Amino acid sequence: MAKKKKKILIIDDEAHIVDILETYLKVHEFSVKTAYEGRKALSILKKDKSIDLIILDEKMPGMGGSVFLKELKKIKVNSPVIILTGSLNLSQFDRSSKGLYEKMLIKPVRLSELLKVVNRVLSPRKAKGIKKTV
Amino acid sequence: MKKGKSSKGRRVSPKGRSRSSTSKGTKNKAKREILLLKETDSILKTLIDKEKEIIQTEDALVESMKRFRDLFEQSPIGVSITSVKGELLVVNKAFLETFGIDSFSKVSKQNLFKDFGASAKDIKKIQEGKVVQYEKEYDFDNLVFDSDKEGVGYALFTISPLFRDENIIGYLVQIQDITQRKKVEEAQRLAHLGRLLSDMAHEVNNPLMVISGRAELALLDEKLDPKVRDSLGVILDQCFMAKDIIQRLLKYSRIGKIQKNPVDIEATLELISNILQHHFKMSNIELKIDLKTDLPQIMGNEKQIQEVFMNILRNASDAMPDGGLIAIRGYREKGHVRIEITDTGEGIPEKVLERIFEPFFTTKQQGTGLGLAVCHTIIQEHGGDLFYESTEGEGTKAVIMIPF
Repeated sequence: MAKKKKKILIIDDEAHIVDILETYLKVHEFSVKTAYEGRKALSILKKDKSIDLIILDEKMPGMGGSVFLKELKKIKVNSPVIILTGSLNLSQFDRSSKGLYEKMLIKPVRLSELLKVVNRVLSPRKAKGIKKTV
Repeated sequence: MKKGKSSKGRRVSPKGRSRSSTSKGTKNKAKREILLLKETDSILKTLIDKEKEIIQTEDALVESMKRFRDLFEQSPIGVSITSVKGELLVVNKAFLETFGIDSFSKVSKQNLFKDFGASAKDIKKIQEGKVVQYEKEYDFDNLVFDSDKEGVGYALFTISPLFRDENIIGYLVQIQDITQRKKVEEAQRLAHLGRLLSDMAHEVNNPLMVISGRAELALLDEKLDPKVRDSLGVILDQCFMAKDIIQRLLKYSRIGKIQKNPVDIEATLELISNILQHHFKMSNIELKIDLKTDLPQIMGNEKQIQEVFMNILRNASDAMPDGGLIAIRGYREKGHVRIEITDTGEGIPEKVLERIFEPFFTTKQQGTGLGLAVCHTIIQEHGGDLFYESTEGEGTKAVIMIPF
């Protein structure tokens, strides 16, 4: 019997990036859901309680990353979040979102590196990770 | 008899005559004396008035001189008057302060045209009698006269000719210390650059992610033509190099904003040489460290100092592809910790040496041209200096001076 696939929600306003991440993660045996903005992502999360991990773009039009993270807490979603961002000016985000995400990766990131991080965050023995910028 | 009598009677003895005219004469004399007195009195009065006037004028002159001296001495702008040849004749307090000197005697031998960095073009204009203004950067450690100041300062010169009968008899030199203004401008420029870069980073990093991501997806195909595989590998590498450039640039623009703490140079050097130990071994490089035991701590940012040592040591090792020796010496010198890192590599040609701190200047195929630019800015931000000395075919010495 096949092992149950872990489910990842990708949120990014850049269609190309969503497409790349989705393809790569599916190749590596993950189940993937996608959203191009925060509100849509929240409605998915409200309906689907089986999301194991969220990959979130920090800078999106409409609802930005830090607002999204706070909304997640409100609807009591505790799935771990990996922040994927192209921005390097993160002091503001850092201050308001401390402790609300597992790990931050700066775009461009090697997909193989992202995969490692995903596996680490999802590994059951992994204690709540320490946030670190790569 | 008659004659005699008459003569007697008529005789007018001088005495008698005088006696006979006494009352009239006395009156005249008195009148004259009074007149004389009056004249004398008026002359005296005039004299006294004149003297009063002179004293008043003198007082006014002294007062005016004092006022001018105050104006000269207390002016926040450095002022000097020079001879027509440019010799400094007099300087005020602000002038001395701008250059960190305590007495005129230290600059009395200096020449405006030779020793204060005016360009040949400016000197020509000055000598033609035009008012000339120019900014000048000073390295206080390398002035022709002794200065109490250290590091780098900036002064704004305004030079105006002094005319007498249409001839230039000298020059009025005004100097404004604009070091603070320059520092603020530089900080603003860097802050602006930082904002621009972080905006740009976001815009550029997204497409880089798309390019590298697509390449990596394509690489998943195991049946890929090896040539195509190689090309995709190059695309990936170049994407991450571009990311690295952006990050370094951003770091460069943020150098001034970082917190400073006491840093132990010896421990920092030990850490970096441990990190590089394996790399040195593989490259057949021997590392010798000779630090004086009394090296004081400096106030700085440890991460940045580490980066400086890392960059310089890597450059030294890159200069010796066939191996060699890197010698590190460290000692105190005039309020600074002086670290010399010498390699036995191929040396740096003069033309290259002039440009090594320019951002984006590189001689390496895979270089970003930012390593030494960042190092230089870091050390300057620490109030110190970084410079290179090199002899082609013999090796290169990097000298780092950081004040403690």
